[in-house]
Amino acid sequence: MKGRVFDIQRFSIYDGPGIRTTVFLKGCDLRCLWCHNPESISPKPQLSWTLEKCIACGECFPVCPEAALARRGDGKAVVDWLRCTGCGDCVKVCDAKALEMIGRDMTVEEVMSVVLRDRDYYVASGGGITLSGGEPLYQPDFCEALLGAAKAERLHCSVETSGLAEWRSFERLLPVVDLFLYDFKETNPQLHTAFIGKPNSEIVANLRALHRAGASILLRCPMIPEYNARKEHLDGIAALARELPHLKGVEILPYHRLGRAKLKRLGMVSRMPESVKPPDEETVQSWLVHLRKQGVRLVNQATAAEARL
Amino acid sequence: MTKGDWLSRRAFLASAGAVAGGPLLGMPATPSTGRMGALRRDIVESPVGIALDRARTFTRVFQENEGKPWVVRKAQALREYFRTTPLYVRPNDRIAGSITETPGAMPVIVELGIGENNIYTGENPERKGYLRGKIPQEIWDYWRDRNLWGLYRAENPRARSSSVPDDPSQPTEYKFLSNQGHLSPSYGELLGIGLGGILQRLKQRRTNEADPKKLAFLTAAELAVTGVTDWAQRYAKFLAAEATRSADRARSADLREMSRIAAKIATGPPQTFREAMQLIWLCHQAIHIEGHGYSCAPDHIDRLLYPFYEADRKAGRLDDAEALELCENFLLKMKDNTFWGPEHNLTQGLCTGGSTPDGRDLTNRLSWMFIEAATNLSMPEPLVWIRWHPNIDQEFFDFCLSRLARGTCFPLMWNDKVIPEALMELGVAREDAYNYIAVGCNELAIPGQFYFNPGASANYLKSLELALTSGKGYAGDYRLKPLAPATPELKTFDEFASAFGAYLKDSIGKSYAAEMKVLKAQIEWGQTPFTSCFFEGCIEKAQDLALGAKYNILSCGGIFFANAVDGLAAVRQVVYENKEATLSDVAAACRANFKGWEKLRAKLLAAPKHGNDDPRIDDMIPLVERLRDEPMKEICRDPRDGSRFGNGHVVRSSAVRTGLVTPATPDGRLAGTPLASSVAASVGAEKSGPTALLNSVAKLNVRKSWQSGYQANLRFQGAMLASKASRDKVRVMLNVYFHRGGAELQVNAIDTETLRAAQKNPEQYRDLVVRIAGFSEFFVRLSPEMQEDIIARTAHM
Repeated sequence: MKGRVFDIQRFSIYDGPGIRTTVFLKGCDLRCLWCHNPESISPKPQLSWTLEKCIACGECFPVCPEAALARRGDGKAVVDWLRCTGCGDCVKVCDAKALEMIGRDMTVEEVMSVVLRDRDYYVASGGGITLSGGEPLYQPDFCEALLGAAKAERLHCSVETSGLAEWRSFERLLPVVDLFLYDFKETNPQLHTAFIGKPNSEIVANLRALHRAGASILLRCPMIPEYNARKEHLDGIAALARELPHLKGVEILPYHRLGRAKLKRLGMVSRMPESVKPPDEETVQSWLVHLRKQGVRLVNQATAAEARL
Repeated sequence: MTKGDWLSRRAFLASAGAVAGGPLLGMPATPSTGRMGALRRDIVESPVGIALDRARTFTRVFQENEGKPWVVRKAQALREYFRTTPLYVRPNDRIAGSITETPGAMPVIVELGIGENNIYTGENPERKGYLRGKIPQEIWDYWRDRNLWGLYRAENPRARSSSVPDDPSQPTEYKFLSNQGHLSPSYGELLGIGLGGILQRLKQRRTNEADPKKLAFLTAAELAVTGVTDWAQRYAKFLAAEATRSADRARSADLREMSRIAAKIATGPPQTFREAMQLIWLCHQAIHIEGHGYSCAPDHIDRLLYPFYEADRKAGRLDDAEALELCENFLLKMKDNTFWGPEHNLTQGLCTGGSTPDGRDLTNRLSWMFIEAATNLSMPEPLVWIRWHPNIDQEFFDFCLSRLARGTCFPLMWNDKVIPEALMELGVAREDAYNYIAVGCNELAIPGQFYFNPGASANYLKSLELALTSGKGYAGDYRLKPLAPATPELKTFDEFASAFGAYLKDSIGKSYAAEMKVLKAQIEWGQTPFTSCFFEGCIEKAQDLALGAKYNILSCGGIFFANAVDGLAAVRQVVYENKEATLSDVAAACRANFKGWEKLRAKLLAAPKHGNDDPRIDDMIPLVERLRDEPMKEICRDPRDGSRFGNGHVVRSSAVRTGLVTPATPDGRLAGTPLASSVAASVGAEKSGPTALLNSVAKLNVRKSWQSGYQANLRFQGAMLASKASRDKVRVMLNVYFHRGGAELQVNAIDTETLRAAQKNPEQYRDLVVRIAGFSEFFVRLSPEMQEDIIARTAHM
């Protein structure tokens, strides 16, 4: 059983209880305008290109079957993204790692051998493994197998999900997941389609079903100024929280621009204007106050005052 | 401290003007009182200076007493100094005893050296000429062939000054300015019987002693102790006079109290907290004046002072605000000692907490208070340590981590779970091993029983270079008889490793021979009779501690461990496993600083690196440990009592400074760039997060191979330590690291943005302290390269 993994991050401390290792799986059906992991969207391995790392050795040019690499004046390689098919031939000759493949097929055992290196830390902190993405449920078989292996090692298992997957997949994971980190991005169905590319009906239905099935759920809400950071959406979050009394809580995730920096390396362009800025501390506070007033149990770990530091 | 104390602890911190538990990063210094704030300013902002009184007195007394035993002349000079030196009390200072008229001025220790070797310029080229024209010619002339450096040179004509640890036959140069330092006197007995009691012991020991050498030592020790007593009595009079001169009523009363205390502790034992602190300070200061005081630590001061603190509290003589202010004052006195004003640190340390051999927690309220005091003062020195142990009060540990968020990088941490066992491995008794203390950058000592002294070193990178070049060196200028087969004959990695080991052994042997000559010189001309009174057995045996303390564990040092591990791993992968290059290619590439060899450099860089918990190099650490330890055990013994050596990887600024003059290395590092400090990962090599780094460091076998200490560091964004939720996770991570056998750790809590901002506006960040491997410094005083190095180290978030 192999899964397509694009990163394994140890000492993850914001994705579930305790100290964790987060395994990022490739593939996602959503197209969020503010996506912070654009390298996760495509289910296929894809090329990443970092000009700064190129040492101008020239070995990549002849191996590219599509002639998708252009030589700059200084001898460094530039990717022609329209021609590139992501075959990865150039990566094999690039010792400098200016060209790298994102997405690697790994067995459950391979992933677990990395995860288990931090077992002592999980035991001491009540932590474990978190699957993220992309949408981890894009690879439901692998999720189930990996989390099954983690459960057998008695690790705490979390899944960070967009909520968009077949209900059957969620159902299969119920016995092996201790906590769902469940994204909720927009209340208004039309706006949801506009921002995310899909309506939110299936996402909300899955959330309700998970809640009904007794799953432990933390609702995570990215807040993007000028987009979903509106009073109506905050009220929508509060209404959902009232409707689902067994939610562990709601976490507000203020917008950050980390995703933007990755786009150039992937040959992608942003679909959100550059003018959208991360919210200031006061704004974040006002969201939190608004939600708290309506009785929402917030689990934001760092208060805004701390986050500023 | 029990949990129930928490509220009162918060109350005391609040009452002392500090805020407990709040988000505190980037806060400026917050001394608990205005006068400590003013004293801090005076000390931190004092200009560089030189104090010549000691040099003049020592020169005169040594001249007048030619022919007498050296140790007696030293003590005569010391007593004369204490009897005649002008006395000072800094405005706002509540503890008497200053080393020089202005803070941070340098009292040149003429009988050791006057900076003829280039340690100061070596560490900081801008210091060149500090002493030039400032020391009277007749003093230079008198000492030229008469101090430790001159006498050593007379016996070792090939000795030269060298600041690059390249030639193992050259000795460690700091010893010729400061002796070995790195010691912690034991003050327990002093607090019980006072200086008068020590003098009594010395007099009793004289009875029926006929050995002239022993008599010389006892005479010297008596002279020295008398000198310190006289000094205290002079202070009593001086402070009384100052009290009458002061127009400020409160200040005048405090000066009268200081005068009373000085008179009392001149001979008698102390009875109150402040008296005990004053006595310790005066003796500690005298030890600095006698022997330089490089990397000195004042015993386990929280434990020693605690009974006095408790008695005062019970009697209603002392409240916590007053105690905290005095703790701050004590730390300020230590900072005041530092030479070259704010530009150089003596790396004095202050160690708190720890456990008994049966695991009982020795942390007390003063441990908390000294850490709070250090946080409030936000200074690079003294270094403040805690000793982690399995039963550490987790609330105390959390408190320590919360203080780290303020950006002082204190406290630093040692681990009671492994250090005592490592010392026991070298024959230290269990109860003594659990009394260990931190001295210097990351060296270890036991108060009054064992001091740190380097006795050899292993030169990894030169050995790698020689193995790659048939013993000729990259530049071909090494005229070493080949100790291993020529490079093309090294057909397997094991053969290459053996060649590396042969050259490593050679460097250990040569450095051992050189350092033992220095030790011989120290034994003759580096005696410190006053300091010896605080070392077990010196009075009984009537001999100076230079002739041996209870335990004599010399250390074999090594630097740039990770570059060696990574270099070997890269050669194994690229040359032997993948056969993508030959050893000669690697040598040629290093010689050319990889110019024209970019492709090979990329391959070397891509090989697994230390610090990433990578199982592919798990065998490399024990390999390097073995190749170093086996020859060390064979060659190195203490000539005084045959004790075995410990191994320790000390650091100072050398990772950056030596990096500047070190050619490219087989791990892919470019010439001139920083090297790895102690056992930390190579610069930029660490990519798998803090748990991976800690797992990697915990793979080192501390008990068998690192008895003299090493240093590892983590850097976190301050927010992670300011927020209780994430700080708890960091705390758990550190608990696991120490349980797994990590020996030492320091944590820097600074974010890159702050550092960049500090580069742009140094004026606004004058208080920002960073720890550079072995020592701490104000960030804005670092060279641009060192600043970049700090920033380049991975920030975990």
